[in-house]
Amino acid sequence: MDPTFNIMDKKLYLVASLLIAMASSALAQQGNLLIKGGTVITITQGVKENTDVLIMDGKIAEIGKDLKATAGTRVIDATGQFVMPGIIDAHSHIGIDAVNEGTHPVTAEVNVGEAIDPFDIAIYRALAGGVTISHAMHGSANAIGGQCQTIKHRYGVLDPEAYKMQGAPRTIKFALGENPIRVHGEGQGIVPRTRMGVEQVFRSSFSEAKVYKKNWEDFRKGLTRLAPEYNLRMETLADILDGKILIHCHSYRADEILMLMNVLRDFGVKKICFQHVNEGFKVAPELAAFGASASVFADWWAYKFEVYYSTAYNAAILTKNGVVTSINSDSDELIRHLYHEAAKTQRYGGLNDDEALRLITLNPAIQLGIDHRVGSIEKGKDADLVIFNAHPLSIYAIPQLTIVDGIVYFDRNNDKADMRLEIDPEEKFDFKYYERWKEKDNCMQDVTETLFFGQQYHNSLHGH
Amino acid sequence: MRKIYPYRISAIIALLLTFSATQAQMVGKSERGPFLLKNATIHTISKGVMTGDVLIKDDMIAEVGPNLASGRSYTTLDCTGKHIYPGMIDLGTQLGLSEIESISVTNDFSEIGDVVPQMQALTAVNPNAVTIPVTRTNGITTVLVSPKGGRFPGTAALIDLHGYTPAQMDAGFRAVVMNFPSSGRRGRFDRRTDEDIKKDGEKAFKKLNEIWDDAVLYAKLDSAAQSQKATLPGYQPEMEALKAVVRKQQPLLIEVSKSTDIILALDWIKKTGVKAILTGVAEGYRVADKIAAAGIPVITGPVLDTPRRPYDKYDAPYTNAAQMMKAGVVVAIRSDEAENVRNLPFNAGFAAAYGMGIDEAYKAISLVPAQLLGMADRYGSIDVGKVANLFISNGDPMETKTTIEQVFIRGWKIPMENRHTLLYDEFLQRSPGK
Amino acid sequence: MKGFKYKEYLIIGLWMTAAIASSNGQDFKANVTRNFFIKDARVVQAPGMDAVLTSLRIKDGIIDEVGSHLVPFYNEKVIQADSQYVYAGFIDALSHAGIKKEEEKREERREGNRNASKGVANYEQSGITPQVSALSKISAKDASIADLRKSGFVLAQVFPRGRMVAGSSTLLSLGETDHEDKMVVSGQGAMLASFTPASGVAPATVIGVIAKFKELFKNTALYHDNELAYLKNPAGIKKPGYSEELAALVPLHKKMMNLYFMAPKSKDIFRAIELHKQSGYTFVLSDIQHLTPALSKIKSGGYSLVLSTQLPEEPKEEKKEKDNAEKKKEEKSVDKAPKSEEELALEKRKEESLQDYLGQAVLCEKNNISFAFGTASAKSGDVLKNIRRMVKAGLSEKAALSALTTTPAAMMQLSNRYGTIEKGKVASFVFFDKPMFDEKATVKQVWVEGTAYINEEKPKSESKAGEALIKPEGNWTYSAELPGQAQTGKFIFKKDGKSYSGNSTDDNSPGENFAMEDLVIDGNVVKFKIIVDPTNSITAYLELTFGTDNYSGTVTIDSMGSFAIKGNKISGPNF
Repeated sequence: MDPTFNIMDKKLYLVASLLIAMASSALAQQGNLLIKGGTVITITQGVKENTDVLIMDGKIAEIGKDLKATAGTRVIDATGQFVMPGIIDAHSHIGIDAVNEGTHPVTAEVNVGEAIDPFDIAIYRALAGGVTISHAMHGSANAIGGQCQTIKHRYGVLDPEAYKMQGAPRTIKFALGENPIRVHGEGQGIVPRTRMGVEQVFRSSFSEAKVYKKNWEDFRKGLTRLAPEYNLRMETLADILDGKILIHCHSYRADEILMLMNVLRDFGVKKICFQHVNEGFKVAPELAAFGASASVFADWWAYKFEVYYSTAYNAAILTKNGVVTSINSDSDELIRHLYHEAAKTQRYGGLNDDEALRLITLNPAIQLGIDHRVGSIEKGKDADLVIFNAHPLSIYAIPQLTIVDGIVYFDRNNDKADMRLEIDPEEKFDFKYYERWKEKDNCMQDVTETLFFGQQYHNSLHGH
Repeated sequence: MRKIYPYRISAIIALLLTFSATQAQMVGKSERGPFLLKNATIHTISKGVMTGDVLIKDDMIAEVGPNLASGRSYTTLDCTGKHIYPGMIDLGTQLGLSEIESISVTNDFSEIGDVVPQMQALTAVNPNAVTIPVTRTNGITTVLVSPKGGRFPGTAALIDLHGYTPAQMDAGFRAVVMNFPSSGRRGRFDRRTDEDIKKDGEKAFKKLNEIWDDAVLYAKLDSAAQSQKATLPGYQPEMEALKAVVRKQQPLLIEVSKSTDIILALDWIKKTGVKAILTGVAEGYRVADKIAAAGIPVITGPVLDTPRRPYDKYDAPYTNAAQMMKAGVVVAIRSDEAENVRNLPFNAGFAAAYGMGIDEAYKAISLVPAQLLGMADRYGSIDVGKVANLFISNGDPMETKTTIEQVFIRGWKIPMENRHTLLYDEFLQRSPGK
Repeated sequence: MKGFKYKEYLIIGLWMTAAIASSNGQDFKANVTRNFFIKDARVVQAPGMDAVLTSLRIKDGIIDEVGSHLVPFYNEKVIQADSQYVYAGFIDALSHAGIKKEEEKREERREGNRNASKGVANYEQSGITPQVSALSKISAKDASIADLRKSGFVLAQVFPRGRMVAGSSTLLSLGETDHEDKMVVSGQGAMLASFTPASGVAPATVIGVIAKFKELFKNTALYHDNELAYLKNPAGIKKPGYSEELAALVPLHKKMMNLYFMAPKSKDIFRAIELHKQSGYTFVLSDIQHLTPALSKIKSGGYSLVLSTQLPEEPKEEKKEKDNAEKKKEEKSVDKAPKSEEELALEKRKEESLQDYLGQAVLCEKNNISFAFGTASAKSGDVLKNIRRMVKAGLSEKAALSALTTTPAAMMQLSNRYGTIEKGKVASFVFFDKPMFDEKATVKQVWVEGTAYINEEKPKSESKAGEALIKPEGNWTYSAELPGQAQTGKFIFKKDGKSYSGNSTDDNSPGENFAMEDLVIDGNVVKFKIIVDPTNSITAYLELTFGTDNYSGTVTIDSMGSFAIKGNKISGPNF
């Protein structure tokens, strides 16, 4: 086989020059393209052989045979190639400068979207793995962590604001189990030190937010004359109670998953996506009944006690029990091959191609509340696409071209080695080398730095 | 459900019948042959692909060929439409040395001390580790378990993934592990200045040479003492453990990844004359010609890794193995994993896609590792006289969706259960349900 | 002493003790006259103007007349300017001059804060101290004031060092006085903010800092509203509680004060701009080192800027590498290899990046963005060198001088008194021996409010850098002027072959011996460091300028500041 199959004339369309052009513009661009003759995996409407996709102004304008584009539109010959929707990662920490504000069990006031790092090379590397959208998440140090940001991988735009997917619903990170217990109970000697404590953090925070909301309503109605203190944490919690923010909750064990669903039921909160949720398979019927979704690892387990009783068949069991499930990365490395991670559900549980690919396209889109815009190849949706040289679930498939809003952001045939956007003018090349350390879920980033320097630093280095 | 697991279902029945006897690994008992695997596509790896039968007697592959005669005591498995591959060999794991990564008392791969080559990985392998069935049911039959940590963290051992005692699993190979001094940053938390990194590296290199000089001296005095039928005044376990390395009776596994460090390591190997195998070698592609010229083999991996430098090409880890191979380096691929050694074939699959090709990639996780360790007479391919470490699959084992249907280790027919499959069987349709 | 910590005091005490009389500021000085006549100066009256040979009459610190046909009056002291180039004194728009680095030991602060807070931090722990005025932190004797003046600065907007909201500035005249109060030009200043997180408590990350800012903005407004509501009609409401911090922020809310926001890199700038949108305060984006990606937003937002005088270092000549290569021929086989294509490409990008950094001021000039310079994050010794590098990169001399004089003067509403050389303005100048942007130009004297400070000439050497022109080997006394008292001991230098080594002793703790590290002799300057306290890794950096029998210089101590040190030869190598 020849993995470096050429799909286009590289002289005509240089990604490099495109990137430079985009760098000068603060706003994200929208492009026009015609992708000819590929096998189009629509996700929602089956697989269409030898089919064209026309993109206009960053949207999918048409899907069909023998489509024509206006003169000057770039035409991509995808004969023999596979065109699928851009991959969506419902859990990652790339493209942000801060992950954990691990100073309190509740930090709903912080928002990682306010610290986007447009220069993060991990974004480009994710694009090279076909990922067009990721959910940049706060970490799992706190029971109620910070707000997250859905970003489009428009690598090359330099304005952090241009990475944000406009219109994507607000989301927030919650966390159960070992991490908040370790950081706050063990680390700071404050509640929670047990899973009992974690529950009470939710219940008391939500109750407090209700009082806060009432106080402000009274003031606004003129019932009181002095304005209450403004508290961004309470404001955010009140928005969660009002259903304005989707919850994405780091969780592992079955019991704690049930606990949070009970709490949410009591406070009238309906939307939740459980993240990692390694023991989700044990409570799949309850998740389905609640309407909760699940975003899981393909096969990570045994890196801590609460994932010891795990199974790589988790995604399959959840899917077959009617839970909307996605496969996520939570890792700079896994995000580079989520298509392969999704394929593992075929080895572990025998999902069919459609079911497997949904795990990294439409289902994460549903979980992020953006399924009306992305996640499948349909007329009117955002033109976020990836073209593979083989079926994307094959281990031998290589992403060739990744497109966001009709703009080509990754082109394997025009890939320079050094794709950094920011260069330290004093850098010494030989000291830019980093040894590998084993990456497990990255939800504990920053905590080690801010709270656990010294003795506990090494113990908590390996994430979770 | 699309996939059918005939072997697993029969094993579940066996499990139910003999529950008390299966407590140890919770996965059932292995069965003894002879086994005649009929009418399979046999990927010998050594001599190409053929259609035919494989006869397993005791520990060994007794016959390979078309239309082998069946004996009365033989258990025959119809493999029509199935594939037979030699078991995969992973030469870089902590399998069985680590149960739960975040709980330090369950981790047995890193002893106190920077120079502890006498620490034996085999001693700490837990034959009942829950990770072992998870690994072998994916077709990995043999792994090198390696200590990790300081300059000389211990002695690695090759094990077959079946047995109830370390001795039963022992495949007979040992090698001392050495971490070559690194001039790289240890990770993103490493805030040392460039100067400090340089200094630390130079200091560590100097220290390494001191240790080595001592080891050479010790080996020399030891030989002299033996010829005089005398004993050395003091017993030094560290030096004792390095004796075989100094005398070139045992290879030294040198973990090194940064290009400039690799060059230094090659110089060091030349100077000391050790029988070396380089491991890790993430930046091997930068200095592939030099490694090839030195004739030092390489165990690289993981392939599924991020580039080491921010300015590296995004696929550098994927193409590394192929680039080294094309330069003439003998390359084996490892997972560098503990609980997910099962991803070894996928590491090889990515290397295959990014330039290595399917045949060479599978070789890099079967025959090449065996050759590297000098054990190709017994491991690495489907050939008569080799240890019967092999598996039956419904396709290319590096393809993600392929199912590994039956594994044999040293002739034992391995139960295809593990924690993951058992949980699946229990919870797919939970009862009670809602 | 302000901000001087007892524990650190002890540590230093171990090294040097015993008092000597101060040599600085307390010497007798007869001020015979405050009227001066500066003759034959080449005066650049304002940015963009030519240097014109003219005279200046100074009366009581104010420029009385400027003209080429003036003659001195009887009561004036005549200063022969010898055709030196005279410019209006420079103004530092963002400075920490006079304020010691009070960098607490991180571990201690972290632990202290964590134990105190249990997850809840007060304003001070969070790094929100708007009530702090720079003046309360300034010490007139801090060597950094003289250092800044030596580079031509006469005025500095000095902000306290701090975290999120560090506090408000004091406008400081950089003359030599015995007390900081005498240096104050204006106490009413601007506020300084940054994205610096707290230590061990919230906000520990940049996202925590941003959230905290958003809350602060709202609560400041509410605080003000509540206060007004109460004043208007107190009936039926509880008196709003007093908050020192929020009260200090109200002037920002009322736009009576500017917020200087430190935003060194483009990401910081983007974030500061988002915060600006939320607050409505008047932002001055400050301490900027790299803005290129944010240029269009800065321009469209109409921001004025304070550019940092900090610039990346020029790539060093490969001299050292060569030496090493010769020494370690065997090991350096990699380094000797010709540069790979990859290395060349990386070097090219690095060079482009360097040029981009050098061109930041040029970008501002071309886009009509108003900017001043600030030295807060820079070494004062590098200021002029770096501004010349900017000029070399394309910045017009007019723009460069404006950024040092008229622009900061306007930003601080001082244009009627500072920024140009005109009748009625304050007599604060800087004298150069050549046009100031000439690479070889040096500051000869600086006038602050009518008082001249002469820059002593360093003996010039024709030697190449790195060559020793003196023979320090032998024993030398030292006395260092530390806060409160001075400390004495001995330096012993040895020469082994071509290289030098040395150690120091402390009169107060006989037997203790401190090795000199990184000892370098360059011309007549000797530099080295001494690890004073290895456990707390406190290091003293010394830089001594040697004569034949004596030397003088500075000792800079981690977390304390710079102090004068001097000494005499006791014995030579033959003793």
